[in-house]
Parts: sequence; structure tokens; C-alpha cells
Amino acid sequence: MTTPGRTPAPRPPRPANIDETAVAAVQRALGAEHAAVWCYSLAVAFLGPEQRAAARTDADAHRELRGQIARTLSDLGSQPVSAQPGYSTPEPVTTAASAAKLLVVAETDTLTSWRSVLERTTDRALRKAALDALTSATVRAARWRGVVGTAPAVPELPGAPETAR
Amino acid sequence: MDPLHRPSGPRLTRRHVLTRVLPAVVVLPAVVSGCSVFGQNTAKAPDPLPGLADAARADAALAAAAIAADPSLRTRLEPLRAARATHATELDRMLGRPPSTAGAAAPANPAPTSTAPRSAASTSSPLSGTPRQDAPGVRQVHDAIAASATAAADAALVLPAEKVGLVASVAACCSTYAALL
Repeated sequence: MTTPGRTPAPRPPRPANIDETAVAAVQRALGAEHAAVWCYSLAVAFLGPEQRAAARTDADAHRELRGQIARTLSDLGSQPVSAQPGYSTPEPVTTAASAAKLLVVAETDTLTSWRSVLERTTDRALRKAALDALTSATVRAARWRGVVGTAPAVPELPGAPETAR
Repeated sequence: MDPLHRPSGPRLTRRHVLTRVLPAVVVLPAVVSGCSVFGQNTAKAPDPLPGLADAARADAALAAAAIAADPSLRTRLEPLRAARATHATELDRMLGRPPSTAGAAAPANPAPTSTAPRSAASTSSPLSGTPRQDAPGVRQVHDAIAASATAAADAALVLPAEKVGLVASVAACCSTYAALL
């Protein structure tokens, strides 16, 4: 098994410690990312020019992440969940302010789901990926919380159930 | 970079993991508790929580000292100070430690605390009315919070499930402040 150069490269291994619970958590994270992409596409229409540019950057980050999660799930032998055709917003989005508020909600949901992934696997690679996602979502959440005027802009415990909202 | 797409865990069967890793996970929390301040216990000693709690307290104290030395920094640093104080409280709670007040909101005239913060101890001279040259500034706070972010992120890769959520939140918060400062 240790003959160098002869062992064919295996398929990306399914890490043994990613069980069904972890896969379900990743699927929920993918669902949150789908929702976030949808929220950004709605919000962009209402934001001012400067914030619109930031929103587009953030939306791109979500799309890229979404693609990575979908591929990971496929590698794990799990069919990635699809996006819904539409999502209900907690409040009507009619202004720049309500659009930014929606983005805070969207990012907060992704924070919750990524922290949950960390709590449901001991696989280092998956934890690292989830932590990176949690961190980048915290930066985005801080941006939109700042726009909305939520203090502190940086959530103290991103993704924690009691402080997430 | 595609971290999600390339999990690099060891190729083991689930049974291997269950038989090898599980006993380790069960044993670890019992091995180290009550280790003292600031690292040195990360290499062999598996419980990083006490060090993370102390770092949170130290960061809060450092930010408080920076604000005391230069009150114009309050807007930038007070949310960070409060966040690190919250982290210390939550980590202490997880450790079963009694609550502490170190790093509390910067007083007009900071008094030395008994738990000496990493580099803030020398700055609390009651005589200084203007920012001292050796007082901690944004740079020091940035470096401290960046180091804390790294320590928490490292811990978040190995902690057991019931502890990883809080530490991951701490890591994400610290990383974000390090990026913003």
C-alpha cells in the first residue's frame, strides 16, 4: 500500500467522519446560501450605487461558495438541495433601508447554518471550510449591520442562536 | 483554493475512526483542566479554552487601555473591547470559572488590575493626561486580536462538538475585527 508511484490516485476520499448529520448540516448551509443569493438579487434593485457594488461583490461570494458546497455534497454522495423559486422576506423590501435589512437577515441565517456545520462534524477539512464561511459571512454581516445601524456592527458571537438576531 | 471541495482528511474507514478517534475524544476533556495562562499548553495539552478565555480578557484590557490613553479611539475600539469581554464571560462560563470583570469599560482613570494584561500593564499610570508613547494603540490591539483569531481558529478545528460553536464564533468575530482595524 505504500509503493510510491504505483498506487492510482483515489477519488476524493469521503472523509469517514462526515456522517449523515454533518451532510444534513451542509445541506442546510447550502439552503441558506441559496436564500442569500436570492436576497441579494432582490436587494440590489433597491440599494444606492455604492451599496449596490458592495452587494454585487457579496452576492458573488455567495455564488462561489454555493458552487463549492454543491460539489462537496456531490463528492459525499448526496444530491445538493435546489434553490427555491422564491423566498418570503420577513418584511416587505421597498427601500434601500429595507433591502439592507434583508441582507442582514440573509447573512445572519448563513452564520447560523455555518456554525451548525462546525458543531456537526469533526472532519478538519470540513470544519476549516465552515469556519472560513462563518468568518467571511461575519465580515459581510458587519457591513450590512453597519448600513442598517445595528450596533455593534460586528456580531459578538456570530452564528450563536441567542445573539444571532 | 477550494477548501470545501478538497477535504484532506485521512482516508480511514468509519470503523477505524470510531475505534481510534472516539476513545481519544472521550478522554481528552478530562486530561487537562485548570492549565494556566497563555498557551504553552497547546502543544501537548489539548484543552485550549483557558488560554482563549485569558486572551479574550487580555484583549479587552488592552483595548480599554488604548481607549484610556487616547479617548478618540473609543468609537473604533469600544465595540471590540465589549466583544472580547463577552467572549471572556462565555468562555469562562464554559470552563465553569467564576465571572471576572477584567477589561471592563475603560474608566476615565484606569486602575491597575490584578490580572495583568499582556502588554497593557505598563500603561495605566494615573499621571498621564495625554497619550503616552508606550501606550497601546490600534496597531497593538490589531496584532493582539489577530493572534487571538488564529488561536481560536486553530482550536475550532479540534475541539469537541459541544465546545466548537462558541470558539468558532469567537474566531470569526476576532478575524473580522482584525480585518477591519
